[in-house]
Amino acid sequence: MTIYCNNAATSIHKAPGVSDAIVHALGGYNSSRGAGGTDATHTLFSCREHLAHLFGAPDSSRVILTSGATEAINTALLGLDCHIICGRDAHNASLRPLYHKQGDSDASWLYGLDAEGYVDRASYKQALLQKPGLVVLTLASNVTGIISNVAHLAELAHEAGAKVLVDASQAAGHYPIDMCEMGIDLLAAPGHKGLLGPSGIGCLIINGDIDIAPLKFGGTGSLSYEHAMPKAYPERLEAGTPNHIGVAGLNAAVQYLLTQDIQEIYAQEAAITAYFVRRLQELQADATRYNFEILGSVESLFWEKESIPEDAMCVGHTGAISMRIEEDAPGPDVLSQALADTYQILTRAGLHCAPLIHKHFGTDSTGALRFSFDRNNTKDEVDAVIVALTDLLERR
Amino acid sequence: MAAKLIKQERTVAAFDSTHEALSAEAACKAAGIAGRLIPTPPEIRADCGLAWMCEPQDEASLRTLFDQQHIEGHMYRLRLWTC
Repeated sequence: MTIYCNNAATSIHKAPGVSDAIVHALGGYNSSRGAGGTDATHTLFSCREHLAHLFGAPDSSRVILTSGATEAINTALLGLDCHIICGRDAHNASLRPLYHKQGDSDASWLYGLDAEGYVDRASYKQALLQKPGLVVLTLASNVTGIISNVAHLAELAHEAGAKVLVDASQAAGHYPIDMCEMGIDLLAAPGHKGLLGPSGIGCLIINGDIDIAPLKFGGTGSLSYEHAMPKAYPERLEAGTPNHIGVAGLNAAVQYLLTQDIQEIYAQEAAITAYFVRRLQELQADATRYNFEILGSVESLFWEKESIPEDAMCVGHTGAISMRIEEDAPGPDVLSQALADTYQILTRAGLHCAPLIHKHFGTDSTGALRFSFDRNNTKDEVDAVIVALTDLLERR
Repeated sequence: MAAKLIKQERTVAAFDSTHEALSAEAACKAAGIAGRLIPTPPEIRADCGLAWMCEPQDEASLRTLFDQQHIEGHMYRLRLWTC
């Protein structure tokens, strides 16, 4: 039986009701905009309402439905006319649009990380002196799993006069997010990871009066004589026929999540990940095995929420754990393949589309082996992973 | 079920896109050239992607096939960890 440890890429267990909603949407939806009273129109509205509720956003008309987090981030970064800074923990979904927009000759718009893998406070404050209009924050790294203290970082950004865009790809559905409480102005999230919906759908949520120029132009089912895109959200940023099938699936998934306690989901995932870390530490102590090292601090897996200082740079840890492997050992790519072929354990090796954090940890030439758990993973599965790693890492 | 990894010589073809790698896989399967897709080994390039791995004795057939089908593959001979 397959042991799925790649939830940071895509969740394998979708929310109850997602399949049925998709099948229903395939079976006779009217997908045209403006055809009043259709299932499809109501599902679009319902999905925006549910997402706004889940993320504590005050206005569901500012929930923009996109093809995923990448389109959401691109829409914000390329649609705002201002200087933008971004962290070295970012995914290429943020980095590539910024290289395109701001150039990469010196990448002075990048702030750094410290030895733990947390946002480096001094580097962040230094970057804020550039007077950016927008700061990109990665809520949770897809490599280290470290959850940044976005509330604190957003406060510092606001003091410097900047708005904040949060890439919540790794945290949405795994960690409680309230845009107002955390000071998040823009939030990007994909449907297919912790939100437990299908791929090909995601959202950009705008909190407040922020004017984003459209990335796409076309039909909106409204103001059709106008040459320009409508000024009102969400139509302003949504040209063309929506992905109604994806919206139906995401809507069902978010409805389900609204019945769940996200803090409890976080606690369950932290517990199984902490168990994995303890078992890895036992294996690390075995001199007959090749050495490996976990990237970034895992301390926060063992923290009590109440004990975290308000100005801490880290507030938690997702189920993602990445390993650097000793140079003479089979590399992460080989281990990932062998785990899949022989043990039916699915992981992800490589750079995880986050090249700068790998440079930070010195794994840019080899990549790393990432395990990413969710609350469905069991201790028995973790034990089976450790048995497989014990075999594969035997010194030769 | 324990797996033993050992280093063996292999021919590896790397590609500039996932689409090209999948085209190569389809062409190799149709032509009966045994092998498999693997993550591109870091010895070739560290920035991810897919590669086709096969036995060294099939390298000449692979080159001919790629020429015939205009598949852009970069060929390497490497000692790789394999099961």
